[in-house]
Amino acid sequence: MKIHFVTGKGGVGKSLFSLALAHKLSQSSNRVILAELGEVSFFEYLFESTSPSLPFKIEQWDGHTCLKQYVKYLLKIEALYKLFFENSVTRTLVDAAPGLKELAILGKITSGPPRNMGPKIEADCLVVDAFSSGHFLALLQAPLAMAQTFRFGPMAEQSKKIIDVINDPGITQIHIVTLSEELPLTEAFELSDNLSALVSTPISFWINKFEELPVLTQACKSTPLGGYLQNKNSDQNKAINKFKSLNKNFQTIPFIYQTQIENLIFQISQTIKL
Amino acid sequence: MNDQTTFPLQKNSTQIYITLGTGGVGKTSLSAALGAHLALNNKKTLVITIDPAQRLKTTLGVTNDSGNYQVNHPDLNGYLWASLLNSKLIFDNFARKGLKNEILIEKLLKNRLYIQLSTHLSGSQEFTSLEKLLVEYESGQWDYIVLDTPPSGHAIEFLKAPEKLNRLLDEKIAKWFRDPKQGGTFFGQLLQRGTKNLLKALELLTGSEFMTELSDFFDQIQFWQEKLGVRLKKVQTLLTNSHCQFILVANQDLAKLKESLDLITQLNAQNKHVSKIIINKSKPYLLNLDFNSALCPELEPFIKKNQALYFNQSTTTKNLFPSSIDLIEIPEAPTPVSNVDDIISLSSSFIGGHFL
Repeated sequence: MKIHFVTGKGGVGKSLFSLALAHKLSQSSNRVILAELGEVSFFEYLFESTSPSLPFKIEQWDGHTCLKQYVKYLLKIEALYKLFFENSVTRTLVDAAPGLKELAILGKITSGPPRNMGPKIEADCLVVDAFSSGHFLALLQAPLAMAQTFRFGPMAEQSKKIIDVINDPGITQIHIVTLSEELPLTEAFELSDNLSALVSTPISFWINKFEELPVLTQACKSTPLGGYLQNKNSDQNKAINKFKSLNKNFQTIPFIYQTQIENLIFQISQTIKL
Repeated sequence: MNDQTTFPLQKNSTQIYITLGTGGVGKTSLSAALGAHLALNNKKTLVITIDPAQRLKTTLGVTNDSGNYQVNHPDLNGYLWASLLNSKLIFDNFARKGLKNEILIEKLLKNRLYIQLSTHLSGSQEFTSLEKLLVEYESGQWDYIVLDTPPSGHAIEFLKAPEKLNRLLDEKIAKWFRDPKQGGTFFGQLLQRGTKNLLKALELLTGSEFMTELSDFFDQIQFWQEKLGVRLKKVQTLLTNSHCQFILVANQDLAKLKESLDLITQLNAQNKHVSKIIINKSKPYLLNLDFNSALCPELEPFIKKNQALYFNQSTTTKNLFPSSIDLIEIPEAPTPVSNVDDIISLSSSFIGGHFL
């Protein structure tokens, strides 16, 4: 099982990139799941009631449900599980103990081999449309905090195993999506530094909405529009040079003038090189 | 706690705007610009923000201590103030006020669950921003307060947070985890309630170390949970007050627009007032510039492509929202907001939007 986490600043196009990445991965594997994290679904809004014809499955994973599935798997006895989950005390416990939901989500993501812990996921490849920068960092911090805080007990033990899977470059990969603008770019580098301090997972960067601008004549360069486009071009080049000088692994994703969503996903997936 | 109970607020003329929207739509810059718009009309305005970009922080002249700072610019005449929330600090102060006993305070501040709760997870930012809003409203010193809501995956999480926190502080539930000095131990209580199995399950899942921390946590928060409960109720009253208006911020992204539409329904169902939606970066900046086809013939297909996309998006947007909602479109600025002049220039977009 391969795990691809997709993160980045809010609004950079993480979800669309996740769809395209899942599409691309479906070419070499016929069991790809795109898991969307959180309690509100973006894809539901994107596709509305239409069911898109995509070569992979889309699922929405939230903390409560992941924890529920894990408990059910662990306790095995239906009555005990009901007693555990169908009361307000447990709900409060889950809300009060931050990190627990995050742990459950990561537990589900890493439940395949070699951990083999939890309900079986029918996929060879998992694309996780994860939270934006700060929340993503908090997600990965959860098992580390648990393992450090509570040194004994099943939670500590599972936390350590989750960290091992995330640290395994043969299994896990992190994709940071950014734009060539200064703000998301700065956030992307900050996030990458923070992640590297936390885990040893390989990180690749994707500069989204990159535009090959038309070559301008001298006459056009002197117009306000020409000047603006020149500046835009120079910002994009600066972004590329920054990645090169820092020796980071990056690719550009072109801005595509297409509003039909399935076509858009397909066209973006065509530009991804793995 | 009875949900039907209303907590009267002292009356004053302060108007509140709360900006809601998904991350990355430019909510913080727009909140500051709205504040500038009000200040330029001689209204004493406070913008409360959380986690702005470093540059905006420097621009507004705020430091990370939750204090109110005057924004310096000759045009603003001292009417604009800004505050950067420090969630942990507010939460700790709240705990201190409730506990009073130094030993108990120190014990609580060291509790690992408290530390997690008071930092960025699990709705504490949402609570502290609302607590700050309430304090500033009660002070009666502002004509307007603009609250920029904390970044979250989805805007609705902001509204759910107080309810979640309230549930956590529900006395009946807190009692469960508490280890009271009288009335038996935590374990004893559980046995009495015939919930031996639940305890077993909890221990199996979390380990006993975790259960001890949890029990300590609820033991220590009992001294301030009632006060916190009252504040949360007051906040709920304030949020449904006609002085309090919600403003949604979105961009041309169709999924985000649909989410905003859903949010309007949810806000209305909770008796909250929402009448305006701001579409940020509604028009790409390059379409604001004159296109000279004689000088730039090579750009013709490029411009046409952009116009078509903009026209397409803008038509969809206009058809999406009911006419009862004011749609305020703010075109993309040439450069990101980086100083007070940029904020003031952005604020001109609010003129005529009936914010005063």
